[in-house]
Amino acid sequence: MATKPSKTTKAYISKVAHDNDVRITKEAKTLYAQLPDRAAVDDMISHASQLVKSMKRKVITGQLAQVEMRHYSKGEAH
Amino acid sequence: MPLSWLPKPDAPKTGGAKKRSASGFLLKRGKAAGTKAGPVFIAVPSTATTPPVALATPAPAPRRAPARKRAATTKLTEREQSIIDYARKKGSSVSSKAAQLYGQSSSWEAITNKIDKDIAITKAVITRKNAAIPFKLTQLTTKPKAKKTK
Repeated sequence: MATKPSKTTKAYISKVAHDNDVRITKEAKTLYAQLPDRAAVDDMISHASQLVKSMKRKVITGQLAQVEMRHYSKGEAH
Repeated sequence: MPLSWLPKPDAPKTGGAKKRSASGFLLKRGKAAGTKAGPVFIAVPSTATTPPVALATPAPAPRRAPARKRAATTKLTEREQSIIDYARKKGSSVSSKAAQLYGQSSSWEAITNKIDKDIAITKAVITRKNAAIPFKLTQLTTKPKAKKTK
């Protein structure tokens, strides 16, 4: 059974998103919390924020996080 | 100063009312062709100052702006066209510029993988049916081929 992401992990994700000038939904946060380490979180959120900005939007949604995580698990993150 | 050159108000008018035909033409004294003598009235068009309504010149039509010249269109290669067709088949679309970028990929499989991925991202971010893949997204996800340097 998957472990519940800690509060600090979620807080860290929020901080990274804020640093990238995007907002992040609760669902997306939960999904990114599954990543193995902080480096992966940094990488994934920075990529997601680039995608979001390229479409003139400001929020990383759960749907986008799902798509991104699917690619990550397949080993083709970017 | 004597105003002798002015006609006297009670002086008899010369001529009197001019004869006109029933249709309003001024009738002048003259000779009809082929007649020997005698006064004959010939119909002469009236020299009325106001033109008939039907002959009034219509207002000029507003000028149309000259047609815009189209930018020179570049012909798509067969590969680019098939990329566009593929995206359309998937319920999305790509611009010719994006197709050019996708077309730089090595194999057809690589191209389709990239398009599928971009469509998935587009659908996740733009919650609209059949949204087109933004060119900026293609630029982000597709590395352009390095240009040859001399």
